Amino acid sequence: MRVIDIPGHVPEVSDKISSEAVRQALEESGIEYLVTLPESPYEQLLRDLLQGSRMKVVQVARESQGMAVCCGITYGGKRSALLCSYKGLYNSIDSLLGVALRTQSSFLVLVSEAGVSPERAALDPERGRHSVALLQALKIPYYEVWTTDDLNLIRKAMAETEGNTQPVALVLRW
Amino acid sequence: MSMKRTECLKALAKHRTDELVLTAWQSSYAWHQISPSKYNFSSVRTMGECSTFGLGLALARPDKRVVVLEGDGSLCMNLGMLLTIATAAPPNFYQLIMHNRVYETTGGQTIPNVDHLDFLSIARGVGLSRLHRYSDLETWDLELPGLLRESGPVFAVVDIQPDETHIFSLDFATKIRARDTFYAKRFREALAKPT
Repeated sequence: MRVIDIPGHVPEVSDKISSEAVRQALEESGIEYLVTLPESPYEQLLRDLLQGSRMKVVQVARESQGMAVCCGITYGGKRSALLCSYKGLYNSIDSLLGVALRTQSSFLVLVSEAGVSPERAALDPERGRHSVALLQALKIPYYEVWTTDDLNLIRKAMAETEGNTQPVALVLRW
Repeated sequence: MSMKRTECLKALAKHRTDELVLTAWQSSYAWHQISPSKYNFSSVRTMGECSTFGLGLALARPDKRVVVLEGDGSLCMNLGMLLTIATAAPPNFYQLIMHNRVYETTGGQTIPNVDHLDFLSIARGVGLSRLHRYSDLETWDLELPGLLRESGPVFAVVDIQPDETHIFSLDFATKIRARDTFYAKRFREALAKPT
């Protein structure tokens, strides 16, 4: 994957959760593969990863594919995480159920929830802010990450996904 | 011209050595009988995601060749997977599309616009370059050893005839569920052992 600098583009960034801290927490949890379809809040994280990280980036064309890729990586004995948006979670439900749960695969799903600000989220109320309700309905364990201080939950989630052989989600409230 | 699925799979079994073979839907039922192995896996039940599961496996286990038998209907469900595969491009990945032109599990309904469907052109268009098509048993049997030694990702269309439909009755589904669970556990344990 390459990232092209677009003139006039202003990255959506949040000072609540540091991209550098996310990268560090994922690396410390032993994640070797980050599977992703690029999403605005992950822009800086992906730029950092492509600059140099021991984690490998696997780019997918749809998030549902990412779920299955992570499952295959699990069976290959490696650790992975899927980075996606709340919309990516919505379009991955069948893969989450028919592949991840059925094959008892262990990986993390980092879900970016509903834009950077409440004002931005309010512009798309039909689609935004349903991740937690959806995860509860599907009985997928999850943690909510509000600030950089909450990123210690990544390590906890990694232990939980491997202990229970099912994916664990982290909902990032950027 | 096309092959019978069982004859096609028997040829593949004959040339198989230590490959991990992932099967989806209809090919699963015959494959476990034709080529029993702890390296068989058939537990992906989301159409179009057997290949992406295999892609992840191929990336994580570069020491193993991963062969995926994907249905044509499943590929149509998730054509974007070809972009993902072409980008990751693992050299140990072999995607064989079992092309019988119908949705067999649901009773043989044709795939949309199947008379104009050209998987090889689509695969070529996303940048895959190791492309093959097999329509007769003799050529398939002759070229399989070379195919499985190519550096991947390999994409091959295998023309087969529509087969016996396995009606998804409750009894059949119960057996499949138990079988898939057993094979998945065995496959996982086999992969975890040092080679």
